[in-house]
Amino acid sequence: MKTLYLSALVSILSACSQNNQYAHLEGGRSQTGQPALHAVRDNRLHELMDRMDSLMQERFMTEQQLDVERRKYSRQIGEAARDLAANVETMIAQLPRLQLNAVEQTTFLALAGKLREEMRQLQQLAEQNHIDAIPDSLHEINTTCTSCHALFRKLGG
Amino acid sequence: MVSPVHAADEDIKTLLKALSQQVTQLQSQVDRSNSRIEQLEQELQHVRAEQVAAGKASVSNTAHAVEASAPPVFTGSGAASDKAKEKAAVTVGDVKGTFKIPGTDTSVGLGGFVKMDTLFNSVSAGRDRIGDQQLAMAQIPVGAAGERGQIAFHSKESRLWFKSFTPNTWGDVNTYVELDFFGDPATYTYTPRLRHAYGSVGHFLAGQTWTTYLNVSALPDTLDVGGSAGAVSSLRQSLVRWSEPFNWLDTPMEWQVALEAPRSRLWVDSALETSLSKSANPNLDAGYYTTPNADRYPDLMARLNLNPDWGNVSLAAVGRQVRYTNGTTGYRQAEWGGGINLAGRISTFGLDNMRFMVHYGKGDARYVSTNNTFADAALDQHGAIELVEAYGGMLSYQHWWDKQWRSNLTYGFAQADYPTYANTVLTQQVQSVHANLLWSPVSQAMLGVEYTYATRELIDGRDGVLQRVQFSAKYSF
Repeated sequence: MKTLYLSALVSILSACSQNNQYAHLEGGRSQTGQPALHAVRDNRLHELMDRMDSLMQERFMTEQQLDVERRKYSRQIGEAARDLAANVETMIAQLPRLQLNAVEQTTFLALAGKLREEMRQLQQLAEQNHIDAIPDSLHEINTTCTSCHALFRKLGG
Repeated sequence: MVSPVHAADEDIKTLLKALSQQVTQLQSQVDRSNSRIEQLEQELQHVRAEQVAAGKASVSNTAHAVEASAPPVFTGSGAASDKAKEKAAVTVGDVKGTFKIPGTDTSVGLGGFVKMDTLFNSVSAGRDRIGDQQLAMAQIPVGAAGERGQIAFHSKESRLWFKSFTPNTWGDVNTYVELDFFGDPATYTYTPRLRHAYGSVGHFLAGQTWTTYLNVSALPDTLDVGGSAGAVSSLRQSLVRWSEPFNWLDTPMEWQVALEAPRSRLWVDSALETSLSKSANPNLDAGYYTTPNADRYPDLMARLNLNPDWGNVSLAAVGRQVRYTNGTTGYRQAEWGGGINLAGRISTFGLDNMRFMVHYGKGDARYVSTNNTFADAALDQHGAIELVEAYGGMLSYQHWWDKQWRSNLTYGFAQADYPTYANTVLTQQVQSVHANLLWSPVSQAMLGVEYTYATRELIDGRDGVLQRVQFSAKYSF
């Protein structure tokens, strides 16, 4: 029975799509068969970051027009991070249903809290237009995702 | 004999034991991390306290020095070192890639790129003509004219830019200057050319930059800087512009109005202006044009931009007067014309996007296709002016194979309808196809190859075809 709960947890936490923005969301599917919400939003974050990076290849827009475009993507990244942070609250709210033991709950909450805090930091960076710091922030988020997957995804398989 | 149920229980227990161990290890790691963070925070507070104390001491020393009406006395190298530390350091600017001028709120940035192009042309546009270096539709030779199988190397698209940004109570003050080296059409003459030079405060912009008629984000990502046949011309000119952003139906939008430098290019019957001799080579850019210095009004522009998350769409309109004065007889003619241009870039899948432009106008042909493809108006031998009707479109799809490789496929078409008395060697219709493969192993470098197929058709039905393979290398800084 406990395996089932852990599988559910894996479904909820899985797939922050760490490698590719067009990531395969299979690992992040919830029990409804849909990609887990946080996986979709994380995917959106990576896509927006890649769009911002692709501006480096623009030859015709002036640098100031590119700055406007960067601010636009930065704003969208901030919004995606805000939604993802809110999604973490939803995950935590489901904790009682998962019937984890004390140690597992501690780990779950620690990782969820870390993810939420990193999302808030990312939102702050994006809103303040600190574009250069965003890739590092995304990298930290990926590390959190990877930690979670290392702990739980194996069991779900 | 162990039952399967018992074996499964054992597996689960083993699994949970392993999990429990991992959780314990993680908890221990978190504890260690927390104590390390606490230690670092304490050290940070200590350092900050020292900095504050040092700052107070410095202010106090200066105050004492002023009170004593005597210069502060610095003794030994230690004092000199402290003085050096007090100098404002160069700090990161408010926008990407800039730094602040010490002691000011102004962020400045420098940048640009080096781009080398190698072009294999199926036919040459002629000695030292721009058509060998970029697509110039009106210079595509017709019939048997032009050297076959020509090659050109140049680095004229290399660019330098400077920008500044200063926050202000009136709105941000921005300036931007950009140069390339297309100042002289001769292939191996590198004369700097001013591309952009403008400033803006808040919503008001003044200077030379892209015409408001052009949605620059809809320009296709071609290696060829000349652009597609059906796109609005990559025209930069002096202008004043007001931009006003607003939101409607949760969609960020913007309207713009602008006054821009007028410049007309007319076809004139040689009977009306005898000084206009026929071109030595009528197959090339016909020498029947005049650019009268008789403009009375600026080109009037209005544009609406929609900027939803999935891309952008703009609708632009131009109104302009085409005016002609005969220098010899004093004969004058004027006519008002205009045009509209719908353009945009729409995100499709992943980083892929589609870009488009559709335009129609009378008397706005200088904004159509590559530079100087069509004339704005024609004057018959009696001096009657008639605006030229011009229209066209461009569609481009950009596909990203992965983060490093991308391709663009672009098709463009444009046509101008001249009055029946116009010389039949004028360009009536142009088309082009660009297909490329671009590789950016790192964001600052790009290597690419592009194939171009372009046709130019004259009123008399003769046509010319240009096929080109272009290799480019671009390095940004």
